[in-house]
Amino acid sequence: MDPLYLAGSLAGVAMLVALSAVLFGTRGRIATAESVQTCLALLTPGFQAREIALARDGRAALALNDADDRVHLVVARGDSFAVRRLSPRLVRAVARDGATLSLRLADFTLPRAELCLPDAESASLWERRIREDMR
Amino acid sequence: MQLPNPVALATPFFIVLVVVEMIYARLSGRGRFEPRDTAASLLMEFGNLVIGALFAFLFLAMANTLLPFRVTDLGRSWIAIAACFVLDDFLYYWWHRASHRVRWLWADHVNHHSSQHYNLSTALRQSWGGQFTPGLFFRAPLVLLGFPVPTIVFVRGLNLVYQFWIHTEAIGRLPRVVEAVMNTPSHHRVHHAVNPEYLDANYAGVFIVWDRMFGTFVAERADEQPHYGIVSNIATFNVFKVASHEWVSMAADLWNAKSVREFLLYVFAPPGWSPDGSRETTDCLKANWASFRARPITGAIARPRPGVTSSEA
Repeated sequence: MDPLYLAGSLAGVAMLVALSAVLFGTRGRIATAESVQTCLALLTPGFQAREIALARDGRAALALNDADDRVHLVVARGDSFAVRRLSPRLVRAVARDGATLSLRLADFTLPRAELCLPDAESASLWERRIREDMR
Repeated sequence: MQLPNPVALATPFFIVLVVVEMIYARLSGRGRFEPRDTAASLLMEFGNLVIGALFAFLFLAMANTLLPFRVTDLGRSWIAIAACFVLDDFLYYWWHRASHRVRWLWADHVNHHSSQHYNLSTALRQSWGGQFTPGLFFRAPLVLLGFPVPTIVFVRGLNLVYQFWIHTEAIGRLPRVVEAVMNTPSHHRVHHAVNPEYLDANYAGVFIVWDRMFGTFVAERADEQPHYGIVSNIATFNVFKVASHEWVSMAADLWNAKSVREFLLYVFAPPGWSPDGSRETTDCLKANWASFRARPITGAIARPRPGVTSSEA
């Protein structure tokens, strides 16, 4: 391949990404209870959150499905969300340090997630739910 | 007759059109861009071009192997080129349908769907591993029918160029006659959507008539806005992870397969298949959705529950 063509292509990529950043900004999406419910209901028919815990930075959330008591993880990725049901197959480990919940997942693009929840009590409750789900 | 490379000729226009769409989307609100997603999509195209050039010999080797068995030589007349274009699009339909129903092919094709955005940069989000799937063989009939290899390469390029402009939210519905015959932005938005009603539909490249003929056509509905991406969206913009995530996942499954049957089903069954049924294929998702829709409406389903608590900080 012509090196000039490759260099030109990369310059074009850089220019388009820069223009995209100027026009649309680089601020990521912040989760709200409503946005978490909406994106979970999209993929799980009838999903209705009994409880939602938002991380303090708004970049992640945990939600409990009313129908089956399953815990779902929602992680902001740019201006969108990635969602995972925390099944025994997926969760490798869960740990808590005060209000911070750390998850290790068997997921190539989401190997770990850390959520700083509003308080230690809430983090402890969600940790217990995830552990029960793992059994 | 020397046939040009349509993709190389169209590339400058692609760049100009992406710029135009970005500005239009910003001003009108019709369409969204996320810089890291745009970077991932464009770098996927860059990698696709480089890998495509490095491994082009695989298609040529297959074609040269088949050439002695072709039934005739159709030459390079414009009629032959037009016929090759239509037949290539027909074979593309079947390759594309198989790419959504066979995990080996999906491991490659998923990359094109892994953006949660739908804009012209998504059109350029091309995969890196097509040469390592049986997808190559879908073009074998064209060689066997007697179309010259340069003609086959040329019409494939034309097909790709056509598919660029349909990756946009900036264009609504086109006149009925166009929507009836051609693949359009409206039809292709349905194809990229993860809404259960829209899954596994509209596989066409250029002519939507293939979907209408083979029962996979679904029209875009005004009351059902498409949501884009894949049913388990990736959580990275790292282009190497974007390109390899399903290959890695499939390799892990193959490593853990407990029998030859399991191994083969992990390769050839639809994406989401698992021996214990703990994962969901698109058929499961659609069935779940259908049974949910069939439930009696109680009023509690559509409204947010008043008991929902949020520990928002």
